[in-house]
Amino acid sequence: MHAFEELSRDVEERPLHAVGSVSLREFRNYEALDLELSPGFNVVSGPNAQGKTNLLESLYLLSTTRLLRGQRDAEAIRDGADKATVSAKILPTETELGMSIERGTRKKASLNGLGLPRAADLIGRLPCVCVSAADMEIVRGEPSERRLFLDLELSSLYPAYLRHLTLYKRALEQRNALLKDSRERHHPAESFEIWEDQLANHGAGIRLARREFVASLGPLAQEIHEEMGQGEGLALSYLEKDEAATYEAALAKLAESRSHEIARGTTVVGPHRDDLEILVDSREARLFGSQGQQRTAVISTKMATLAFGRRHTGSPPLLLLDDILSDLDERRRSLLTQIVLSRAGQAVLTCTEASAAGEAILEKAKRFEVWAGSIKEA
Amino acid sequence: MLFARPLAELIAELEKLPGVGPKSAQRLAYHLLKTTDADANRLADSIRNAKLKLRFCAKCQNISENEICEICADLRRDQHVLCVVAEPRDIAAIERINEYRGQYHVLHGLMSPMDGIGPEQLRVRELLGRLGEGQIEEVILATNPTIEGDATALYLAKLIKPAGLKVSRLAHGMPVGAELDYADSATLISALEYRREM
Ligand SMILES: [Zn+2]
Repeated sequence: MHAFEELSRDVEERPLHAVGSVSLREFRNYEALDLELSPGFNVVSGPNAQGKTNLLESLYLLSTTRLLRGQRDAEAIRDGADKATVSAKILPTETELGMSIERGTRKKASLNGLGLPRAADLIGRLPCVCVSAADMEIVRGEPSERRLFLDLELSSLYPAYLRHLTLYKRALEQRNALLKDSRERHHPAESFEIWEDQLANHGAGIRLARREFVASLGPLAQEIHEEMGQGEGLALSYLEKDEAATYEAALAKLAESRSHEIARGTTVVGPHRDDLEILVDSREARLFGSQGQQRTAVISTKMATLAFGRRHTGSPPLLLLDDILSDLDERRRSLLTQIVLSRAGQAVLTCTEASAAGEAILEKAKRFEVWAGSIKEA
Repeated sequence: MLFARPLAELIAELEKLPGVGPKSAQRLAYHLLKTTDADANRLADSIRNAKLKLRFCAKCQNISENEICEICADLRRDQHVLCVVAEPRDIAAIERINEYRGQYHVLHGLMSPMDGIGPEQLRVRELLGRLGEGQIEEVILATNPTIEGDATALYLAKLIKPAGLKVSRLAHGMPVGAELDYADSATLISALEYRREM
């Protein structure tokens, strides 16, 4: 668990890592785009559906290997093309990250032009925090949305976490298959134990990491929430649906629930059922928060991951704000602007009107205008 | 019709091979059509021969030309240590490094409820039969370090240990998810040397 011991330790500031340039080929509505970004703030403006978010998404793809809104990879290929590619040069090391998506095969990642064995090997090389309207689901949606939020953040920070998660999911599928088959015929205890051993092992690793992450994130989110001018307190806590915090306890829990899980045909104990509780003013934001409160809670939580990432790696992750500022009222907008200015390193902000970014950011920013799949410096 | 019927049939057969997609099946089929009759016949004969002459070794379940394979028939090998692997190709990987001189047993797969594979679908009964003969003192479980490989090793350990045999697992010097037959020799040698008792 060595990696997780570092969770709460401050790291020395590293030189700022930033995306120097980005190139898109046949990606979404861009036939070919080569753009030099500022290592500080970048404001991308233009009417809707012209390609602002697509540019942002290309950076998100290099960071996480995923598209926004969980879309399937092939959707990113421009109509009529067979293959989309995205690449970016990271400064000051000049490392080149690449990703290509081709119809009918798996997406491929590359590092300095050399193919990586798996696309997931790219994760962690360009840490980013992305905030978009879809993130409202973190507060409003099902527990799975909040687990996904935790999993994505932790995977990008700790390769060991991604490994635990991948192996856990595989063992879970195997045990669930065995549970279903148990309705047809009897399987001895050993046949279950061999999967439960791995579920308990990787499950304990997942829970330990999530627990410590949420414990560190909570105070950071609370602080930002206050700066957003919210009197009400924001509190985050990790909810474990069954009390099995250790490997041994998880083993016992799995053995104990076997018989009623056979009836349900699926595993009901373990971290895949846990939740992240988000309380505003001691009440569950999901049920009792107004839309404004929910939005502020999401922004505070997301901006807290930015602060966490900075503490963890010594350099703030790339911040992607997709049309967030225009949705806020005047007061909250200027408060968020202050938070961005004080905490972000490199940032890419999209908005319909550049003025939504506010004078303070615009003064420092490189500005781009988007129109029908082409971008020019403003 | 896209292809003449015999060509379509050939492509369909080739496509069933592991790792061969529709495109490479077509490429292979066109290549085969261009070869000489003698070459094509040799290929067909060698497939037929292999199917006809090869069987599983009665002891270790490896692919063999005779009832007992060459490794099992070699009496100079250590008769007290037995290494359990998932596939015949894993034996080839371990033999290549020239470090191990004991016996083998091939399971022909790994436990995987998702694919309907349990102990009955693997050569587990044959393994227990061999251990029951009393010559083997140590069992090395050399399945790959994947979820299924670990689960299968744990299952066998639970079965074998009560009989008082020494049971060990290949050390995880091998990168997780790596396959035995792709591991380099240095890694494999240290995995054998530092095997841990289960
Ligand atoms: Zn044999």
